[in-house]
Amino acid sequence: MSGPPLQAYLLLGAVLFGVGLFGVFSQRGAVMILMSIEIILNAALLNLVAFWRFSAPAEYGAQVFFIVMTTIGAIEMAVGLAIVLMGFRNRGSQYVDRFMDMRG
Amino acid sequence: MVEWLAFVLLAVIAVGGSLGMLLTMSMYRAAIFLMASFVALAGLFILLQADLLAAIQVMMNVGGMLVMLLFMVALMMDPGGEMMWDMKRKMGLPGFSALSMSMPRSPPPAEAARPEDRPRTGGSNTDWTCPMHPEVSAPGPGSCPKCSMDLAPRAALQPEAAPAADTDTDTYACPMHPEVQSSAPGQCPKCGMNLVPREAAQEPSATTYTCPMHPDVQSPTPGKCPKCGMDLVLQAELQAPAPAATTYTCPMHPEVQSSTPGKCPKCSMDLVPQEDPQAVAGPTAYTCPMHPEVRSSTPGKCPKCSMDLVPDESAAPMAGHAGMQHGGEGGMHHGGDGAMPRMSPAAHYKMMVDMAMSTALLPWAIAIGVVSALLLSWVLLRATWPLSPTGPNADDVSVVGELLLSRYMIGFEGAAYLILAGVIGAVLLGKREHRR
Amino acid sequence: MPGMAKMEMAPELARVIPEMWLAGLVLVLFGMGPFLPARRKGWAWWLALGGLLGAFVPTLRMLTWQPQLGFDGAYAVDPLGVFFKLLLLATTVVVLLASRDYFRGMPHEGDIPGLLVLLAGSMILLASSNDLVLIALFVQLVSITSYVLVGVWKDEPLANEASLKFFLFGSVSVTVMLYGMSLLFGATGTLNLQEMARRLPQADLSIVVLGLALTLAGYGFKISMAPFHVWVADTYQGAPTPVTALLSIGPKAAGLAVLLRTLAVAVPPDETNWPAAVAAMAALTMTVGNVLALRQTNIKRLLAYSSIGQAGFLLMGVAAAGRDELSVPALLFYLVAYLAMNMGAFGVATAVERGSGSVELGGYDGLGSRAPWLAGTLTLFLLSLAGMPPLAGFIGKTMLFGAAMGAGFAWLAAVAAANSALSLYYYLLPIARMYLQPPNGSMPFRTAPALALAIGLSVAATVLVGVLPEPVVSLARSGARLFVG
Repeated sequence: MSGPPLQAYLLLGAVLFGVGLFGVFSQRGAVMILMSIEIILNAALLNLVAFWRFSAPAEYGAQVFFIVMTTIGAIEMAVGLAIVLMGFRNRGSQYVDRFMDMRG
Repeated sequence: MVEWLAFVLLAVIAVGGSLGMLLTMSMYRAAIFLMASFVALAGLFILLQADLLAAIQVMMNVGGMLVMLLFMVALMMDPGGEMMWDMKRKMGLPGFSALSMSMPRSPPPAEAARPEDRPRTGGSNTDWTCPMHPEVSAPGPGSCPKCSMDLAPRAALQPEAAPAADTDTDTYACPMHPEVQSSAPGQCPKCGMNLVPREAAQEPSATTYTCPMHPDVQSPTPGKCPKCGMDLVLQAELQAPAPAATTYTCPMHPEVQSSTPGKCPKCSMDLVPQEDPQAVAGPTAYTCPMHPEVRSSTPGKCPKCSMDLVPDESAAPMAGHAGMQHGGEGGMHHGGDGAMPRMSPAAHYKMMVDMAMSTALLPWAIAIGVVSALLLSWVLLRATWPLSPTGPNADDVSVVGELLLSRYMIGFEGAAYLILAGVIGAVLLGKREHRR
Repeated sequence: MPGMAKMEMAPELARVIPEMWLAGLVLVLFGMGPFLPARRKGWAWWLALGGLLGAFVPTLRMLTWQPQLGFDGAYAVDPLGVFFKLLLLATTVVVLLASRDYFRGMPHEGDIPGLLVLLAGSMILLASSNDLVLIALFVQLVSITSYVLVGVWKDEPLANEASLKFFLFGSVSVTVMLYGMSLLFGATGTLNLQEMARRLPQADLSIVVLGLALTLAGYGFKISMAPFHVWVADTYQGAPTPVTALLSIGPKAAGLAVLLRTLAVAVPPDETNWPAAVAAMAALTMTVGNVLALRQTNIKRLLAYSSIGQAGFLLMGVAAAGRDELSVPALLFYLVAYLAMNMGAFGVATAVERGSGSVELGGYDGLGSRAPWLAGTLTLFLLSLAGMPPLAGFIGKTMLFGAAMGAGFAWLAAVAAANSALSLYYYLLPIARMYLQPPNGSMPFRTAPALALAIGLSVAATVLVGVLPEPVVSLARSGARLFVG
C-alpha cells in the first residue's frame, strides 16, 4: 500500500465535517442548511469507506451501511425540500429568520 | 506516487467545492460546486477500491443536486448572484465581491416593522367558528360540535362582531376592508393584506404606507398592495400626488399614455400617473442599482430584475455600509448620511436583508466549524487504528447482495419503508391544497 | 462476511411476526386510506385500531421466550424488546383513539392512520435493533415519519414553523450521529453491538468515546436530552396536539431503549465510565426542563418542558443501569407510568383545545365548573407527574430514586428530588387556575367518545398503577433482561 494512509482520509473527513457544521450555523436559507447537512453526511461516508478499506475489508456490512446512509441522505433531502416548500408557500420565504414566531 | 497526487487533487476539490458552495452568491455556482465535491468524493472511493460505492455516490447525488438547483431557483430572488455582485461593485463595498455577504448587524430602524413581526397574542391560532353557533371556537378547520357543520374562519363569517374578547386593541381589521375583523393577526380574506389593530387601521398617520400605483390603498404597516402586488411605501415619500391624475405613462417611454393604470407595452413597467412632463427627469428620479438606464419618478420595481428602485444618487458610494463585509464587522449607518435621501432606511435595510445569505451568527459559525475540524483531526490523527493486513478481495456486489438477504434483511425492508415514508411525506407536504 | 452460512428463513421470520404484521398493516392503510370517500375515512381508523390490537397477540406470546438474537446478530428478540413492543403499541392505540376526532375533516385525514402505524412499527424496530446499520436506519425512519406528522396541518403557520425547525435540528443531529457511528466502526471494525464489546479492549478508547459522544447527538435528539432539547418546545407547540402526545412518549421510549442497548451491550461500564456521563446529562436535562417550564403560559409548551424534565428522570434510570440491578425495572416501570399520565394530560389538552379553542393557561380558568370531569382528570395527571402518592408517578419516582442511590449516585437523587419540588409549582399552577379562577366562557365542552375513552384509560392506568403497582413491577422486572451476550 503505497498510497495515502488511513489518517489522510480521516483528516479530509474531519475538515469536511467542519465545513458542513460551519454551513449549518451560518446559512440563512433552509435549502443551504440542507446542503450543509449533506456535506456532513459525505464526511461520514468517507470515513466509513476508508475504515472499510484499511481496517475491516472483510466486513461488507460497511457497504450496506453506506447504502443505508446514502438512502437516509436522499430521503432527508426529499422530505426536507417538501417542508421548505410548504413553509415557503405559507410565508413567502425560505429564510429561517422569518420563521421565528415561537420563542422561549 | 500517483495515488498521492490523485488523493490531493480530489481532496482539494472536495473541500474547495464544499466551501465554495457556502461562500458563493450564485446558486448555479453553488450547485456546481457541491456536485464537484460529491464527484471528488466518488473519485476517492475509487481510490479506496470501493467501485460500487463510487457509482452509487455519483448516481444518487447528481440527481439530488439538480433538484436542489431547481428549488433554489424557485425560492430565491437572486439565484444567479449577479444583482449582488453588481451592487457590491457599484457601491464599492469592501471585502471579496464574489463572496456571500453577512447580514447587516445593527437592528432595523424602529419604523420598519416587518410584516412578519406581528404583535404576539396568546396562542395566535386563527379563530374558526360555526356559522350557526358563533360561540364555537376552534384553532383550525373541523366540524361544529353542536351541529357538525364545517367550521369557517370567523373573519369571513362575522364581519361585524368581534369575538368574545375584551378591548379594541385585541381586534384586528383590514386597512382596506374595515368590515373584516378578527381576534388574531393574519391576512384579510378578501385582499390578502395584513390585518392591523383596529385603531391603527382607522387613523392615517405619518407612517401610512401606500401603493405608488394605487394611492387609495392605505395601510399603517408595510406589505404588498392587494391590487397590483407592488410593495407599499411611505406615503410621505411619494412625489406623485395621486388621486386626481388620470393619465398614466411609462417612466421609460413617455410617449406611452393611458387613461388606466397597467403595464407599458414596450417594457412592461407599471404605468405611473403623469403629473408633469418633467416627472422622469426630476430630482426624485428612481433607478435600479443594476440597470441605471431604468428610471422612474416613483419607487417600484425594476422591469428587468424586479429589484426595488432606489433614488438616483449622484453622491459617493456608501462607504458607510460596512455591515456587509465578509466577516461581518461594523454596523450600518442609517438615515444620517445624506447620500441616500429618499429611500427610507427601513426600505434600504429590508433590501439588504433580503439579499444576505448568511445569518448574524457568522462569527460563531466559523468558530464552530474550525474548532470542530481541528478537534476531530487532533483526536483522529493521534489515535492508533487497527489496520488489516490484507486488502479487499471478494466480489463486491454479490457479497453485499447476500448480506442484504440475510443479516440485513430487516435493513433492506426498512430502507424500502424509509423510501415509502419519504415519498408519501414529500407528496403530502409538498402538495398544493385546493381550497374548497 | 463472504462464505457465510445460509440463514434459515423460517425461524428468523418467526421472530419478527409482530413487525411483519405491522408492516403489512401499513401497506394496507396507505393503499386504502387516501382513497376512501370523506364519510368513510373512519374505516381506516378502525382498521388501524384493530390491526394494532391484533399485533398484541403475537407479542404477548413472546414474553416467555428466551433472550435471543436474530438475523445473524443484527436484531435482538429479548424481553426488553417485547416490553417496548407492548409499550409502543399501547401508546399508538391511545393516540389513535385520542386523535380520531381531532383530524376529522382535515385534509390528509386518510393518511394519518398509516403514518401512525408506520411510526409505531419503526419505533418498535428501533427498540430492538442490535446493529449500527439498523439503528441508524430506524432512527431516521422514526424521524421522517415524525416530521411528516408534525407538518400535516399545512395551513397553520405555527405547524409549518414547528416542522421546519424540527426537521433542521433533527437532520443535523442524525447526520452527526452517522459520523459518530462511522468512528465506532473504525475503532472496533464491526457494526454489531455484542462484537463491539468483545473488541473493545483492543480498540483505541479515545475514538470510542468520541464516536459515542457524537452518536449521542442522535439519541439525545430523540430522547430530548439536553443540550439536544431545543427543538422540543417549539415543535410540541406547533404540532397538532395528539401528535405532540405521541412524540412526547413514543420516540423518547424508543430512544431510551436504543441508548440502553448501545451502552449496556457494547460498552462495558468499567472502562469508559459512561454511567457518570449519563448521570451528568440526566441532571442537566431535568434541571433545564424544570426551570424553563416555570414561566410557560401555553399548556403545550408547559407540557413540553415538563416532558424534558421527565426525560431527565428517565435518564437517571439509564445512568444507574450500569451499576444497579434494579435500575432497568425502575426505568421500565416509570415509562409505563409516564405513558399513562402524559397521554392523559395531552388528552385533556386536546379536549380543551377542541372545546374552547384555547391552548393558553387562560383557557383553563374555571375549568372546574365548566367541565368538571376534564378538570378532575387533568388534576390527577398533573399530580401524578409531580410525583404525588398514591399515583403512578410517585411509585415510579421512588423506584428511580432507589436505583440511583443503589448505583452510588446519591447526588443525582438529590438533584432529582430538588427538581421534583421545583416542578410542583408549574404542575399545581394549572390546577389552581382550574378551581380558583372564575371561568371565562360558559360553553360546556363536548368531548369526542374516542378521546374520552383515551382519557379514561389513562386515568385508570394512572390510578391503578399507583395503587396496585405489583403487576407492572413484575412485568418490568421480566422485561429487564436484555441480550448482553
